[in-house]
Amino acid sequence: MTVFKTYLKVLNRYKFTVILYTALLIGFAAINNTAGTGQQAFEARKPNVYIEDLDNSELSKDFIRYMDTKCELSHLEKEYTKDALFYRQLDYYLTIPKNFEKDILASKNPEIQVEKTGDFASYYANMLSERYIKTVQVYASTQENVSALIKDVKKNLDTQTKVHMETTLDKASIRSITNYYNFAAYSLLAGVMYIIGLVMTTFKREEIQKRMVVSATKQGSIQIKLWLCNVGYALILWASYVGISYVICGKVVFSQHGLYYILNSFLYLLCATSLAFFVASLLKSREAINGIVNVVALGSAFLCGAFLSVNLLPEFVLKIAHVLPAYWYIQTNEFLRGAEVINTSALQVMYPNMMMLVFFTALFFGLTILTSKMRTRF
Amino acid sequence: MNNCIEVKDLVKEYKELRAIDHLSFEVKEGEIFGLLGPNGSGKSTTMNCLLSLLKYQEGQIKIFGQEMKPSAYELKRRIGVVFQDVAVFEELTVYENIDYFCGLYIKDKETRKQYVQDALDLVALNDYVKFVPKKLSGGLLRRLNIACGIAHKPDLIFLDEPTVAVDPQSRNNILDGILTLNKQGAAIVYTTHYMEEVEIICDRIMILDKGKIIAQGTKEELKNLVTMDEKVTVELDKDLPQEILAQIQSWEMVHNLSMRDKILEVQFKQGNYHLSKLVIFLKEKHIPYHKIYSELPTLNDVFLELTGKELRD
Amino acid sequence: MFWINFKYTLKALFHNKSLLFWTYAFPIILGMLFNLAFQDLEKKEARSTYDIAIVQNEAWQDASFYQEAMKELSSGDDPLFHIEYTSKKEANRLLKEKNVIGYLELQEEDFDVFVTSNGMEETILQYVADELTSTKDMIVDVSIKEVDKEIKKGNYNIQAERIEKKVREILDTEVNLQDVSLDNMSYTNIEYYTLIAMACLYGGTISIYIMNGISADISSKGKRFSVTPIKKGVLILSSLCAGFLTQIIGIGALLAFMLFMGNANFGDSIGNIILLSMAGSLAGLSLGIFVSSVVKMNKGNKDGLLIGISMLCSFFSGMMGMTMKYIIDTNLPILNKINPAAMITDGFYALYYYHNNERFTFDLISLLVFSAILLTISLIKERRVSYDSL
Repeated sequence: MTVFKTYLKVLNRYKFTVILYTALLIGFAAINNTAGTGQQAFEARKPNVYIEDLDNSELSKDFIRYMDTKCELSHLEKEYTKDALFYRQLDYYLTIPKNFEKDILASKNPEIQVEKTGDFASYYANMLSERYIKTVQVYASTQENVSALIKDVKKNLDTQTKVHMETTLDKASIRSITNYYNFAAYSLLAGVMYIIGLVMTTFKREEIQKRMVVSATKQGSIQIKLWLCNVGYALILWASYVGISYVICGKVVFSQHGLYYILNSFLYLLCATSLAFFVASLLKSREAINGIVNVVALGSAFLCGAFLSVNLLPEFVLKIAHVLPAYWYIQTNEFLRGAEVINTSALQVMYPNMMMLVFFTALFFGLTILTSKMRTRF
Repeated sequence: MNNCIEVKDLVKEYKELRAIDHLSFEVKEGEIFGLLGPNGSGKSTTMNCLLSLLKYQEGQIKIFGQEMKPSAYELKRRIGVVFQDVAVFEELTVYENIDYFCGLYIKDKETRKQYVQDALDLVALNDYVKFVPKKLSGGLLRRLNIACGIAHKPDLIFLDEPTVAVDPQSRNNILDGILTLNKQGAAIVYTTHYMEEVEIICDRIMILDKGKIIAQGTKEELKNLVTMDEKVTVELDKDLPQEILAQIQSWEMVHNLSMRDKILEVQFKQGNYHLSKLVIFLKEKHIPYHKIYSELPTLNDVFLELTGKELRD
Repeated sequence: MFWINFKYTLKALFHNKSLLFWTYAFPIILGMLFNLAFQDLEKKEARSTYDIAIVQNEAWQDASFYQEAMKELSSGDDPLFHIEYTSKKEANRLLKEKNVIGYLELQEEDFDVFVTSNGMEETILQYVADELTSTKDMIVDVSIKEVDKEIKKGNYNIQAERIEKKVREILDTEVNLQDVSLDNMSYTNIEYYTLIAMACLYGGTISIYIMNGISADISSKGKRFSVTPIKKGVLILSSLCAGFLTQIIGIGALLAFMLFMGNANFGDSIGNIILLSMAGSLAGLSLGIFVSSVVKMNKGNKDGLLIGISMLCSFFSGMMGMTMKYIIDTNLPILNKINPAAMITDGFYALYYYHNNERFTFDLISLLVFSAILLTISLIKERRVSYDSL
């Protein structure tokens, strides 16, 4: 009991920092998810297009109407459009020039200015506007009446290829929950490491350490008790994190998919706790721990795809990332993102990843006991 | 001689606690002034008020005839302080630490170099100039702490328990150093709860308890304050019977006595010929004894009688 | 006194391992990680060549127009598609194993598109099928109209080839789309900018270290400083200068690393980059001083608070998702107007993207104002040198 009581005392001393970090890290995940900053490059979405209409003619309006059917027309204030383009919140900026209608009808080829980001969506938007203009040009060669021209163009462009797609997944909520739990690779790890580091270094100040070594309790048993205390804090952090996921992602959290996300994050949590415990056992100063936490948490988050989509990372980086627990954790999340149903073959994919997390947990825990055994001989 | 410190009616209150209660005293130039008292008696608080580190509610503090304020920079230049906790930079060496703090008083490079050397000599740290504090033992660290506080040759030095938890060698070195500084002309305010030190080095002593002055004066004056006089100890073959003890106890000049493990201790009140009277009495009763010796009262006894508390608590 | 304090503070800072880590090693380590993680990002975002399959059925064999169009789309330097012509069964297998993003099957005149999800790639595949069909329709439409016209003119000798040629001509005219985008569109640079911003704010740990050392209520060293004849303001300023020098060397190293070894791009205005880094460092130091003089907490919690604030500021300026800064800028601009990390990030962004001195100047001035306000408040607070308790 003394171990537990001392633990609580130390925790209480740093309650401000503990609460601050817990709130911050969960807050980050929540804000990040609701603000939708998750990587969208591969997601199904309409390109965001801003059209500046200098012609204001029947034809230019029809151009806008057509783009509106395929794109998301942006109603941003114009001063923000340059920023929006840079941040990929706008993919395409199109200026319909003055005399657009007149030039088309006169079979001239008017110059149209565009700005684009260079990614998928802007490419698509560019194809769409090219197609419209070309179609208008072709029909204009046979037709001088604007309304009739618009009618012809509309008829032609309305062709819609039949698309066959078999998927039952609610892609939007799956995306949201995947992004949220991918973010946990950072926030759970950072949270657990910060707090455990803070508490353990205080705990380890030599007087306390020596007193514990000479006390009647076995060294190994103290280590296990401490680890359990750490798991206790970690569980609270995790429970809050999972709780917030329900607020943000909705009932998908309790679907079969959701439960696997939660299970996976639990295994990751144990692994993070164990790693934190190990790091804390190696180092004496709190500052050193803070440093390691930042490097390990931010580093593995960036290298394993917690903030950005895994698809965007270079191959060799992902190879390096194999040595990080976060990699295996995120692999499972990404698999769940695409898995239609969770059947035996799906489990066969996920189990090895999860076993890796268990392996890492055991590894770090074993290393902790080993190093602390070496340390008790002063 | 002029007063270098004059304190009048000093009152310092923490939230509920009155830590210093209408304190008035003076310290004269060139003397070593001992500030005695148990833990929590207000010694450090008094010192921190004198240095304007702490705000106080009432009273007046004058140092070298001028009012002491946080912005009294000219006064601060003449003061040196050695705090109880070691206050040095872990990242800097012994020499750099002394030079740093000395440099905050002394601008001239050459003078400073000489002063730092003098301080090193005083605390005998010449062999350790390149060491960082981490590598120093507790006693050496204390000496460094002192050197940092006095290197600028101040006229008034405050020392707050500079010998707590220090090995005997370092302690002797420190006490010698203090006497040297005093000989060079500095007035010293010395806070401690080690009686022996005060007896050795202090010219005048003030005893504080619960923020009030209990006694003030030279060693002799203080000892005269108390009714007790010498204590005589006799080593015997066996314990004395009750009736003999009762006889001794009944003497008018005996304060009290005790008989334990064949040792008799008799505490006398003020007066003369105590020892011979006891010896004659033992002879008359044919009681053999081995050793017999007498001790004069110490400040500790003075303190005990005045406060009823053990000093070293 | 100013100089001796400056000299020894500098010396102490350079011997403090944990501060050196935060100021020098940590940002560069993160910078290296960023280099690894982001080097392919924009390349991968851009359109590449997609693997698709086309079912070779009877309808396809007859559709020479489509065959030709597809040949065109899959040839050249940067083709849109890489096409497998296979049986329906094989196409299905390729799709299931994700070897292709989708396949097309021609049914009579129209395409059916088979995909497993509706991402951007699939949208483009669908679009191409749409366009092919409608172009074919268009040729037919226009040809009919041309024929009508000729007949109306009384010309019954219709030359199909001539009409087709005319339509082709129109179709082959390039649409005159002028790309007027700004040159510097690489938005991963924001990550590097936020990293510099974070490094600047972490420099606040230097100030906390300094302030802990000279505050009588925190350390005994502080008591010692309080009884010296040096003015507190002078003491703080001279220590701060030493801190600033330490910090600026760290930021300089980070900048040099990014400029010469990393993928980051800062635009061309070196002078302004240095100016902004210096203002950023000052803001970080001021934040540290502010935290330590205004907030009364123990050492551990103070450092914790500063790192927490730095993380929060970095987060809102886009470190954990670059678009966050834009979202804040458009929805809650006031937040980033008081966020030093956002000011620093935005300053670099203005230099890189806009080559625009107006926005940059605004950011620079904001940082200076931010620092001035925090420093003034802290110095006023610190001037009361007597304490209620120690």
